[in-house]
This record gives sequence, structure tokens and C-alpha cells, in this order.
Amino acid sequence: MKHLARATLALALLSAVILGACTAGPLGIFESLSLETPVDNGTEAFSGLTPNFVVRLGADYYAGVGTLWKRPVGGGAWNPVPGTPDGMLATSAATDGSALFVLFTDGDSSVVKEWDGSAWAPDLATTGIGTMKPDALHYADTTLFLSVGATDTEADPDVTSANIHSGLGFATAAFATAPTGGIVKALVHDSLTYYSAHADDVYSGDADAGGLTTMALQPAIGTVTALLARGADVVVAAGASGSVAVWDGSAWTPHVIDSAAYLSDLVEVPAHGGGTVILAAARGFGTKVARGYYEVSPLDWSVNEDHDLVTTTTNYQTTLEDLGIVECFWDAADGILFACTVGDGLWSNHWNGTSWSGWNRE
Amino acid sequence: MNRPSFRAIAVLAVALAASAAFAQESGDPTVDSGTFRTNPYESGDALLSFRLGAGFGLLNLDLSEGSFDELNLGPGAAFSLSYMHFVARGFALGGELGGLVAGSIAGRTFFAAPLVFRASWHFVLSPFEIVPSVAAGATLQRLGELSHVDPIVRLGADWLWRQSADWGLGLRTELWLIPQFYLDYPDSNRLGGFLETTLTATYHL
Repeated sequence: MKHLARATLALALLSAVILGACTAGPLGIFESLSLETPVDNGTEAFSGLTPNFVVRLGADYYAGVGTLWKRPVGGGAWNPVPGTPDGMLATSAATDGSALFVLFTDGDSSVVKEWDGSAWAPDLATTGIGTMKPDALHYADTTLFLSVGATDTEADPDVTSANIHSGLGFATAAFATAPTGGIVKALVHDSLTYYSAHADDVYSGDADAGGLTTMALQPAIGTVTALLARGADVVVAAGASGSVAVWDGSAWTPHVIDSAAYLSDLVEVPAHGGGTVILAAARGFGTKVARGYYEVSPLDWSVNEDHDLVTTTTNYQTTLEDLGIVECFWDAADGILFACTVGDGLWSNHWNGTSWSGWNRE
Repeated sequence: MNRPSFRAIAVLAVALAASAAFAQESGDPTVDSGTFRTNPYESGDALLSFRLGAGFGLLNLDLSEGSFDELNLGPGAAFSLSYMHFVARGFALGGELGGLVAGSIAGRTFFAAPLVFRASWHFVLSPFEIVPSVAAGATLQRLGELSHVDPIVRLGADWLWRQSADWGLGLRTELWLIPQFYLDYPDSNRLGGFLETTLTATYHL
């Protein structure tokens, strides 16, 4: 029995060491496992690419990853949408809820197509944009917009002036005078007014009536890269300086998120534990390195370094931490958040009403 | 230390006491008949066993709602090292340190390291042995950044072929039950279940 007593004592001591060395995480282990979805849903074709967009039309998601893909909202494999233009990439899309509008381009020529979920309609006329080149589609309020840019020469592709067009043939220009220097980065509607980002400035007014003008006050966060309308007269702007600025109807208030980051998109989603969180996506640009995204509180604009509001720290670190994100898409109806990464495909995160699944590869 | 850890220690102590009591009350389990030969394990003998094989996630019961969830773990590896000391003919008490590692469908790694006290009954049908056992203790678990220590109960048996007087080789099948309690997050309380199927090598010390 002496051996047994010694073994028992040794095991008890080892138990005490192990027990004392552990602390619980914010989410149960078995519960966390139950919330997982496959990290790879089988679309290896996406894994090394940069998706341009994800949108939802009806019961399907559509993604621009080279060509146009779709999969059912309820799950399943991504499959190419038939009937897309040969040799053209799906670079941008927008939907009015009943039709999907997709911009295809091969660099030299572009076409805007309309898809009703099962068939393509005749191509939309773009005669109103003249010699400007289409860049992106936006749907805001009740209007479809096509942002366009002009370049000096074929050899110098930098956009020297830009505009946003709407209406029949996209003939209505939102800016009476096309602003110079770069493309339009964003267009949102806060239920009262359109806001558009171009270079370091935010413009506001009636975009569909040709009335966008420079706001008297500017966010002062460098190049404005994204806008998020949270409600009437509440707009958040993200900047290349790594800051966000909040418009409350009378002034912009800047908040530094990370000066080493280039913020690229904004999306507001439910937070684990209650409330919402604003994800400020970041990508590499110039000296700025890819950082995945930041979880920003809309209450005090602090940054949650733990990344546990939409995923676990580990899941974030093993998936998106070192990736650039060009765009996020949040489907509030079915609780799925997508992240279009630079060169690492499409990722999704599922919200079940209480918790997030963690990031999984589409 | 969080409070579930104290609970785990309590379970360890209860399991050990119960095992010892059972050992005193139980008789010689050997069936000395024309079929079963005399049990070779005498009080004072000891066995050292190594096991390596597969582990499977079976069960994820939501204790707050009474519903079953997916465990979402693929097949994994299981291993253990145990020391058993005979306190009566054919009946041994001892301890075991093991592990189970498995990948989740989202690419995370689940790891459990149970430390248990074990009671085993050795039935001999030479050259074979059937060794049902029950074990209780605590298990450290990790899933990515998450970690927790919980009580564990294991029920199963080793099916051995006695290759020589010193060595026995065989297979273990065992059910692991891990009640996982979070006092601060009661919605996270779960009962997890795993199946261990391992190859066993036992050395008679």
C-alpha cells in the first residue's frame, strides 16, 4: 500500500498544479465547438485570391472572385454564375433587393449587367458617363450609382478626376464639377442625405440630383477610405491615417484607432456580450501593414484588443490577423459576416443571436 | 483558481475514497473454474501500461437547455500511461495520465489531459484477460486560447492477450464523460463525451 499512497500523493500534487494553472475563457470550450462551422467550405478556388465584393440577392450570396459566384444563404458550395462576359472580371456589385447589378471589366472595356436571380437582363446603358471609366457600383436610398474615373493616358492609369453617375444611362452626375485626384471611395445615405468620400474630403447633398458638395467641416483623417451611416446625421468615416471620425450633424470628431493601419472599410455588427461593435477593416498600403480588422466600440470609440466580440483571439490570430481586408459584408437577416481578404480568399463568421462562430474560410 | 477547479478536486477525493471502499468490500473477482484459470495478480503486484490510439468526440449535451449540440471534432489521437497496484487478488487501484488531441472542423485543436484515479478488475481467461475499469479525476482542456479544468469519469475495459509472464497486449475501449461547468457563464455548461480506442501494452512489474 506504500506504493499506492505515494502514487496517490504524486497524482494529487500534479492535479493541484494543473488546476491552479488554469483560468477559464469567456466562452465554454464545448459551447465554442458547437458554434463552429467548417473552416473550409470547399471553395479552394478562392483560397489564394482577393474577392472584390459579396452581396445578397434573395436566397443567394454573390461574390466577385475573378468571375461571379453564388451560393445559397443556407449553405452549400459556391458555383460560377452562368452567362457572365468572357474574359471579364466581376469587380463591383450592388442590389436594390430585386435585382443584382454587376460591373464587369477587362481593364479596357466594362459592362454593367442586371441579374434577377435566374437570368440576365439586357446590359445597362452607360452612355451618360462619356469617356470616364466605370469603377464601382453603389446602391443608396433608392438609386443605383456608378462611380467613374478619368485617366490622363493609357500609360498612366491614375485617376485624375472622378464622379458618381445615376439615372437613365447614368447621365446624372453627382458632382457638378468632377473633383480631381483619385476615385470616389464611398457613397452612403443616412436616410436624410447622401455622403460621399473622395480624397481627404467628405461631400454631402443630393447625389441623385447632381447636388453633392464639399462639407464645410472635414474629418481630417487623411484620405477618407470608407463611410458608415449609422442613422440620421450620424456618419462614421475611416481614414488612411488609421483614424475614424464621427459626424454628429454638426462636427466631425476624430478618434485614433491605430496610426500604423490603413483602414479600408467599416461595418457594424452585433457584439458578443451585447450591443454592437464597429469593425474597422485594415489592409496593407504603402508603409502600412495588414492588420485584419479592429473592433471599435461605438460608445466610446475604444479598441478591443482581445478580438472576442466577433470571434476568439485564437481564431482571429490563426485566420485574419495578418491579412488585409478590402471589404466586409454583413447580412443582418441571417447573421453572416463576410471578409474579403487580400490574397487569402473569402472568410465568414456566423452570428447565432448570442455568439459568433469564429472565422471560417468560405 | 476558479471554483470549478475545487469541484474537480472534490470529485478526485470522492472517487479515490469510493474506489478504496469498494476494494475492501469486494471479494476475489477470480472465477476459478474449468474455464478460468487462477488469477495471477496477487496483492502487491503492479502493472505499468502504455496506450496509444484514437479518440472520437461523441457527445455535446447543453446542460442549460437539455439539448444535444454538435461537438464538431474530427477523429483524434489518444494516449496514456498508467500505473496500477493490486490491493487484492485481481483488483487494482492506481492512476493514469493521458491525453486526447483532435482537430475541429474550423481548424482549431482540442486537447484534453486527464489525470485520473482508476479501479480495475482483472478477469483471466488464459491467455486472455478482460479488465473492466472505472476512473475519475480531473482533466485539463484547451481549445485554442480557451482552457478549463473539469471533472472526468471514464468507464471501459481493456481486452488483453497475455503474450508472456511480463507482457500483455490488447485493446482498450473507454467512454469519457466530462461535465463542463462555468459558474460565470452558466449558458456554457455542457457534458462532453468521448470514445477512446487505444492499443494497450501492459508490463507486469
